[in-house]
Amino acid sequence: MEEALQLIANGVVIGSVIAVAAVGLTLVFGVLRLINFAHGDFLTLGAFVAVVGTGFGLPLYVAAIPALLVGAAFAGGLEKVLWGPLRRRGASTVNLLIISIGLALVVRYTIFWIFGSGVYRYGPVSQRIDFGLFALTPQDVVIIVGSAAALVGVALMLQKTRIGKAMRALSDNRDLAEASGIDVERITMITWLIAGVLTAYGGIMLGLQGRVFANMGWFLLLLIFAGVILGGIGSAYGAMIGSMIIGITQELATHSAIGLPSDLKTGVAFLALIVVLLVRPQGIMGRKQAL
Amino acid sequence: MIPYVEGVILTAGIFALLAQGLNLHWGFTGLLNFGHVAFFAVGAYTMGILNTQLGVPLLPSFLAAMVAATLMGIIVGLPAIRLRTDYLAIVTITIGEIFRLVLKSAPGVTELTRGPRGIRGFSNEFYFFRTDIGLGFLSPDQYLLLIVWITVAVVGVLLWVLIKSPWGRVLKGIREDEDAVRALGKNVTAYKMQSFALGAAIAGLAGVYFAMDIGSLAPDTYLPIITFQAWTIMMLGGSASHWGPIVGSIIFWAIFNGTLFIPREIISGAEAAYLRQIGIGALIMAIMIFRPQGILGSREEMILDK
Repeated sequence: MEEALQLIANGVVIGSVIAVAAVGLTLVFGVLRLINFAHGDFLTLGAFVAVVGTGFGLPLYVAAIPALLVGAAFAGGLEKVLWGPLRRRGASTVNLLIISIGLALVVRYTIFWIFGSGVYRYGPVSQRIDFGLFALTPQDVVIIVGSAAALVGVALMLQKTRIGKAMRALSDNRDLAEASGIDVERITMITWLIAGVLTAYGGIMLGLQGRVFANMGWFLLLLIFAGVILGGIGSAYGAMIGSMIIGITQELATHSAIGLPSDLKTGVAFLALIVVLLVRPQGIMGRKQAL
Repeated sequence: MIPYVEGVILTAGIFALLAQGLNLHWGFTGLLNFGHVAFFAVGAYTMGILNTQLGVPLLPSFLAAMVAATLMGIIVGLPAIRLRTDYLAIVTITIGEIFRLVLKSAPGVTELTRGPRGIRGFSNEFYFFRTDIGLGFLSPDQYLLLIVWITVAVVGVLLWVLIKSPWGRVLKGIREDEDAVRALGKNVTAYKMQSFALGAAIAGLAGVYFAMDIGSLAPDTYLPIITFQAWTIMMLGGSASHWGPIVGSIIFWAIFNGTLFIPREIISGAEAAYLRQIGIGALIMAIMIFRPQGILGSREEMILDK
């Protein structure tokens, strides 16, 4: 039992990271119908910009600021020069998907080229604090609190602000949103900027959990997809729930009563993804017509 | 220079075969398969395990590799093939990764695959065999190169005949408009499965040759990058073109291996490896943006808005 609680706590930590990343991915999908295979590498980019900052001796919360800005600028810039023009030319979903795979390789290996294949850290990982039922490092606590804050922020934005409402309208029906006077191009750009900030933020959270390395986002990408699809693609709330389930499931899979080697735990999460797609492809929170 | 040319032609042949399978899936049937490397790995591992662990002679283990890849195609296809294209992409890439993890560390499986340590010692018999058939004057690489390209030719003709046949026309119909084909009373899922299984078998055979070329089997050879390379080759040459995978593969590997000529003083080996991957990514983007039909493909064959 004690072991299970500890594993669940670990699962919540990684689930929080996945959730932040997954919300960014699903917002972009909802508004643009783009399945972005480069999303994982956008995370890595954010994490590495922060590494440069901490390398200059800045504390992480200061180094995070340029990382979030670069994340937004990068996402917005790509919308400007790549996705926007392609969309106006009528490129298909599949076309865009394949382009995002090419983009993923370019971003990831440019990071490899600049930073090499080594492992970076934001600072030494502190001793675990014993909370009685489980123990977490202070970094883990920051991840959980920081992710929860970001997710609540996104939820409030979607529910309360005009932009959030416009994003939801766009996600429901692009043509109808356009007909009812929503400036589709502007909302699309704003979605990218928000997703860019969230993704860089998620990358820093991922780095805070342990190590920063060039493959980190790519290794997380399929888990992010799993969280998004489990929750229902296009649904931000679904992505949060789905990511938590994925995080906890993969940690619990290593429980000694199950005895799976930890190398295989991501395999279990992947399997969950496939099962969901077969049994309930619209996910937990998704609607059937989104398919 | 000669080893460079031989190396390019050999690798190009193996990947042309891999891309021919993918071309059947995507080019002719419209199936967005991003887990192609799994079929490549199944073929290689089936041959390796049968030959080294169970002592099965080489030729039967080659055939078994193709059968195993076909079965894998059916196993992956049964659940996945009804999904919409982008979901199919996610599921297939995920299955490819699950398969690699299982080969690497699943309890029970690693007794056969030897986990990360991998399998060796299956290629000697294959290379010794060349003296028995009077080809002893060829180097091992030349001998493999010959066999690979004969296979590419045979598969190319086979696919050409199949795609010309009524069966192939149904596949193209599915690619263009699945619902229309269904309305004509065709069992779309069955046709897709057949395409998937046959393409997988071709990839399985490519996997066997690849294993012969590098002489060992290790799970982490079979990363998704292999799938992306096959995609680049297919799209570069032109999807839905019979010569596409061949032309694409030769050009791709000539450029890829060409980085070997860059002096080490200018960029190190590791940097060259990173630059190659950046190049693959940039090539994928450039083709899709500027010439989605590839070098040899025709625009009419490309479905741009599906």
